[in-house]
Amino acid sequence: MNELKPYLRMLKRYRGRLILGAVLMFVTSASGIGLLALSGWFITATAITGALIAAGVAATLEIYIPGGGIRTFAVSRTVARYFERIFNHDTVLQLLRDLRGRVFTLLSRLNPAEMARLRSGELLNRLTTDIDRLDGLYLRGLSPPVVALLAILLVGALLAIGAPWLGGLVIVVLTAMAGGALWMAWHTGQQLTQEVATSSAALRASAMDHVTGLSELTAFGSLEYHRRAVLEADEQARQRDERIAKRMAYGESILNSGVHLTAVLVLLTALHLFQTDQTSGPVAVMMPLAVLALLEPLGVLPAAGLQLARARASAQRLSNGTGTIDEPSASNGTGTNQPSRDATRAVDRPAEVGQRTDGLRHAPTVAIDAVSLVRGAGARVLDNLRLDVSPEETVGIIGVSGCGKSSIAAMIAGQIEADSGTIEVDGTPIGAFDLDALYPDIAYLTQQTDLFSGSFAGNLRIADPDADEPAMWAALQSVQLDAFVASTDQGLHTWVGESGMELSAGQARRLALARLFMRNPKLVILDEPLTGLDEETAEAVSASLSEWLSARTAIVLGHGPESLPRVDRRLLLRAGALSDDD
Amino acid sequence: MTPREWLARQRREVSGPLRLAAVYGIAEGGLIIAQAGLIAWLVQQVVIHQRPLVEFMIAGLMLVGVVGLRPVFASLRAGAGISAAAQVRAAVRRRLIHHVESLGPAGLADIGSGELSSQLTDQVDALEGYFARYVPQMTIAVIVPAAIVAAAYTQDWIAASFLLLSAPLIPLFMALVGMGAERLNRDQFLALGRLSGQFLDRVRGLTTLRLFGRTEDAAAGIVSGSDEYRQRSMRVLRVAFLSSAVLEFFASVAIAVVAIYIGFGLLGYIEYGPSTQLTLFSGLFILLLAPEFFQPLRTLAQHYHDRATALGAAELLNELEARPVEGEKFGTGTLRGESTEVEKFGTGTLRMTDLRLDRVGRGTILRVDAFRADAGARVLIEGPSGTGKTSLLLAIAGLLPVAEGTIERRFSDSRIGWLGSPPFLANASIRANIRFGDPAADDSAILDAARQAGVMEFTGRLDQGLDTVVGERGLSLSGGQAQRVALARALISPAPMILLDEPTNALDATTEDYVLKAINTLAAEGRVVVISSHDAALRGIADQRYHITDQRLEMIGNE
Repeated sequence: MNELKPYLRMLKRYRGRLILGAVLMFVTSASGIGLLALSGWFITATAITGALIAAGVAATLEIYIPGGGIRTFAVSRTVARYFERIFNHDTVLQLLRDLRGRVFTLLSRLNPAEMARLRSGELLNRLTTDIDRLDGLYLRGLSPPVVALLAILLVGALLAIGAPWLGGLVIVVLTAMAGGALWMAWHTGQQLTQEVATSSAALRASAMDHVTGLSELTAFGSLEYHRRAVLEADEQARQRDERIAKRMAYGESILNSGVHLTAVLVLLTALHLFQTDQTSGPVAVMMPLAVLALLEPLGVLPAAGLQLARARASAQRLSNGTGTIDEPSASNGTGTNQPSRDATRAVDRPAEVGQRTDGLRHAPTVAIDAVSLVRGAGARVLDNLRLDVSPEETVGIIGVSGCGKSSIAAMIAGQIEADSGTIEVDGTPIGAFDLDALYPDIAYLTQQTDLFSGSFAGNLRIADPDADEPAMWAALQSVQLDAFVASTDQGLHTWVGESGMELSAGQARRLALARLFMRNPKLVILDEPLTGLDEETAEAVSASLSEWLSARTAIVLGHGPESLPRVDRRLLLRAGALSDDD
Repeated sequence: MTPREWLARQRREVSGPLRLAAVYGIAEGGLIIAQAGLIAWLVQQVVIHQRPLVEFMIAGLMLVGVVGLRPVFASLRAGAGISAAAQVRAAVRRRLIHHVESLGPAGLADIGSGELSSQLTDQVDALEGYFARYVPQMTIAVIVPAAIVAAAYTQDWIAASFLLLSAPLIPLFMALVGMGAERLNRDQFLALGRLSGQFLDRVRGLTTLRLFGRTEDAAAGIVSGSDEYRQRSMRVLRVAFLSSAVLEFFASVAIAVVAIYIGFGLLGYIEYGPSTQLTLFSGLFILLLAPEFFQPLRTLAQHYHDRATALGAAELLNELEARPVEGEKFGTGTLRGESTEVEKFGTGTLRMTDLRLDRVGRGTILRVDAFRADAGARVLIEGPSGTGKTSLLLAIAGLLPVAEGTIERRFSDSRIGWLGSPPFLANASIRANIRFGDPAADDSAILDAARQAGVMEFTGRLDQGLDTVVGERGLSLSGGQAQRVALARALISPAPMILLDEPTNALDATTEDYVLKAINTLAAEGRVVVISSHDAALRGIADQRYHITDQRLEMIGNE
């Protein structure tokens, strides 16, 4: 349950609301118990009185209070249920809002290495489901057991009217039964969430492969071969679902029958108590009926146990994705901790110096000295790297894919730390900058193109919220996208991305570039700016890039000479070191 | 076919287990009546007739037996429903996979692969609750309440009438509940879906947002968007929950009315009809049955969202299944076009005559007047991106229907090697990925191909070598590494024709070398190699060059 603690702490803010919500739930259950128990008492009492009257005995029964009680319970049950649902759903939606905001803020603090891991992992696919599970933690997981326990205590108290020892015994038995059901569902849920991680993911992955690889598999004649793998994954996932669903259903019916059996035993005991004159007839009938009314609050316990298990798994996944926020370079294994400690010394900001918050006033110098970067199983990506860039110079770096180009870019932008060596921008170590104050003066095109569902204008305004239309058209013209945007139905206001217009990789890349043109940075870092562009377009975009870069310090990365715009100096990155490429 | 009809068709496939589930549920209803009867009778004997409890050992044991049997039937009902749902899921998924295969990439071009695989997995799974719970409960919710009213009727027709009177209200409840639930599903979940999409979008683009200094704005946007959604959905929920409150209300009031009527009857305040005959037995019996009368209906209402979910899924799945498969010969896993398998490997011809290619929504995209390539030829097709190079390769492979003209493949084998752009990598080991080129290949052949394609260069550093799992759930390969794996797949394939789509796009020089070498090797083995590219580096090794100009494929030179 440790994983759930932060979320439980989050609930504290809503303590008042949560307690009121649980009270409403309890009032609903209590009304149900009262309705059935009082009805049983009432008709038995009337039957006995009626029999006495028929026998000529002058008997009377006060009927207005119990009659009124029955009507009151009938109404209070309905009303409490209605307001409980409204009230609690409002709480859940408030929690959803808070959770989203909080998770987003947590994620925004991840370093790029963790971000990359997050992107490629399962977490992102499941993020919204996980958050939903957690916002329902209280309503569907935590409050049902509490309400069930209160309901059991209430019934125990009612039974105590007839026989205190029986009330106590039933409280113990039913609490044990309810606890057992909850535990079993929690246990099953644990298993479910663990198996889901394997079999469901295997099915999803193989189905995805079957669809994306349809051309290849068909052409190669391997379709049937791969289909077998998909159907096997399907079979396994289905058997697992079936097994667990059945176990849950069996658990539920056993719990139900446990309550029924308790009611029957209470009935027989009550009848015995009646015969030995230890209790009255109406009370003897009221007792088992009160137990039967527990079916409703106890019936939801298996679902609650499952919900708790799922919430825990979701919390675990979320903390795996976001939990490492405060530890620097936590993605390194323990084996590589030594160099990373050196790096901390080199890059770390001395606390007494304070952060540089004034950004860049002119095109800066960039100085990389003796930088090394170690990744994964000891592979040295960058080895004693040295690079000096003068103000307003454009340096091109080419190298094969995976040689560490993007790491250089990310290091200059302060997104990852080197394992050793120094990186200075404008004479200040990158670690000594307040990055958020520095970023307005840096343009960094990441290797991954990030567009947002929204209009062309919306995507451009990410760079400059106050940009006017002429400015946006000018930026689009620089990347040769103006004619295309103008040809769409709504021009700048055409919706792109999810549930909008699909852009080709090249168009998306150019839109991301256009975003940079909207700003006036002093330092520009471009990671594969021309990827996905055909030759003609690439040439045109190169031309506008060269002009734009002339008064700025720029570092442009590419896989080959043809993937760069015009540069002042071209370097080759090979085996972790730079050399002139002539 | 409407989604409802589609669901009905699936229902017929598993009518046996579904009926069985309903029968078990109804049997359980019978036990409920027996339980109520036994309890009421025992109370009557002991409380009214003052007879000693010990005389009713048998009745007591019967009561315990009835209570003990109820979970048996409840479990049988649930089990039968769950099995039925599992059968439906298996059948539907199998059918959809076959249909997707028959449609081929051309027939699926307008659906995203993410969406499509979610239909094959999540949407099929979304049918579960409807078949496991909702459908059996539909029958149970009609028959069990009817049986309960009949049982109550034998005791007191007026009390039974209270229950019966609410019977015409049942469809009304259901409509009310249904309307509420449906509105919930349609409006709310749509809005939620959109909101989730936007949220994910922002998460994916976090790096960019940070660089532009917009993280806080985005976080604020997420919070305010969620809050707006909360206010909107609370307005809907207030109405939606009313409908289920009505059902609750009738269930509560029925118990209250029955209890008060019986009480007054037993006191002798009501002097007409059957009330004078009421006993504690009949009164308690009816009282115990009153909540059970409404219970099946409430259960149905609880499962109503299963129906809405299934209908949503049915709409999507039906739409997918309704996509017509073009061409009669184009079945599962077979390729279009004429292939003749008469000649031995190392000979053969690819020929295209008066070809016209159309793509949905774009009209005619390419014409080929005449094209011929013999075994061993390296053919380069050039042209700017977006002019139909990939479509032409798809057509040659038989994966895209031609609008006019013929493509003739005369080879020893109908298989075709394909290297797409970007290359396809399955979420499997590198070895398995290479094996897709030839499922029958042995390990030494795989090792050979891996070496030739330069795969061994980087797998040497990996702990598990060729058995390292790649893709989303494993190691992510760089573009060049992925291309090498795909290249090894083409090399291992026994196909007499290999098609390469932009094989050197955005590659490092070493990988490019491997690609060029592989092209030469493949051609030297006597295969036709067709390459589409706008990379000048490939011109040097091509035997034949074609260029796409004004939607027409034209030959440039023949060396």
